[in-house]
Amino acid sequence: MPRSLLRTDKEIAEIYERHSKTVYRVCFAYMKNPMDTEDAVQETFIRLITKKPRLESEEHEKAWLIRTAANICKDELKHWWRKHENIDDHLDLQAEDMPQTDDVFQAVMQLPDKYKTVIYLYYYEGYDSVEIAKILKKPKSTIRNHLHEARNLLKERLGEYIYEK
Amino acid sequence: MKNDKMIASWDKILPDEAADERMCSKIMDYQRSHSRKDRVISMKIITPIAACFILIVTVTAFMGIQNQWFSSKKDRIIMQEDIKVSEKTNTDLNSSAKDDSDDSKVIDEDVKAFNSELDTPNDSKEHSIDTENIDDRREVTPPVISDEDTALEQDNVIIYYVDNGSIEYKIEFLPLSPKYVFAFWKYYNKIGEEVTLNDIQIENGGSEYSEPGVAGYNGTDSYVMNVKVSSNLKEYYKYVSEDKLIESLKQTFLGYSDDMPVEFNLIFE
Repeated sequence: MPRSLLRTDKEIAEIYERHSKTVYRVCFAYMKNPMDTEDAVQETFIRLITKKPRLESEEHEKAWLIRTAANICKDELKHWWRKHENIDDHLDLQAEDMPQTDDVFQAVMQLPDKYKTVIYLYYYEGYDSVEIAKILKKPKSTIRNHLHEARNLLKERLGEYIYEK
Repeated sequence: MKNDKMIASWDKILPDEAADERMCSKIMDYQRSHSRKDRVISMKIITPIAACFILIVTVTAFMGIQNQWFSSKKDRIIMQEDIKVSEKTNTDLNSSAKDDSDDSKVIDEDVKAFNSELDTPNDSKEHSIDTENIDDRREVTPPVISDEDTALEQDNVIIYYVDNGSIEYKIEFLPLSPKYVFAFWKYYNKIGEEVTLNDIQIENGGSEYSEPGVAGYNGTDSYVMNVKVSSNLKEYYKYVSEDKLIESLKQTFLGYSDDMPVEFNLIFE
């Protein structure tokens, strides 16, 4: 694992290879369309290049990228022009580019933003609530509450069948 | 919840080949231009900057030594105390000079000069320095946000502090992490680096449950915030009212927390 702050081209390519899919999914959870997701992914890796954070392990590296990606997306969604954009103008474009998804994914995408990343990290990446709290730098109780609320919302939308008995 | 369903649905979220190639090539283009720029900067700029920095440090050090910029407030008090001690020595000298009339005139002149400064012995008390009430806290430096933490979500946080006996506040745009909230609270309250935030927990009286295939958490509306700090914070009570200092810490952390705690506990460790 390189400790140098100035990463070589090869190191950046390896980091991209290792984590691009995770970063893409985190960004997609916020941006909801491939084009904006692509921009957010690029911005995340560009921030890694410019900020040159010292990351001790691959896990640390992944956690930094997830946190950065989530914050870039949140910042992007806060932009005034995005708030004034008419979503109907982009419906056709989105329909063409959107990947085929199922009911579970659609239900997750309808959750409030703050729940989506937590759900993704918990169920897909397999982190527990303590690890998610460390990654997102939030109190453990906040993460547990987000998981609890998110599960209740999913239960309302998808019914009991999503639970294993 | 069935993890397989969740995993299967997220598995479909991938960039297509063209998008992946596009993202990768843009990132690598940026990396190449950035690393080239870094090398140019290091060659062209760092050398003159280093030379200027050494020059500035040398001049500052020279001027500082000449003008005693680097002596702390405490050092200055000690120096003033030394002056006070020397006054007493002069008084002794005054009485001894009167006793011994055979001494030279030079001593008499010195005594007169001293007496003209101190008209009455009682006045000298007004000039003495009450070291017990002097705020001899060292200057604190503003907190520095580490490179890594620039990735954190940032927002305005209200930092409360005690100023001349009343609680004031300032709004700081900082990473949303308790360590920075505490660091800025310390900075505005002139509390040194030796005081540390050891832990911060929010308990909401909820409980976790686990059933086959399901793990969850039942929350409640009752929140308790436990903030653990090093006990050397108490040493600052001699400078700032204990109640107000703790109140400012409480208001700062309660304002920062999203969870709206209803109870605040400060624990010294």
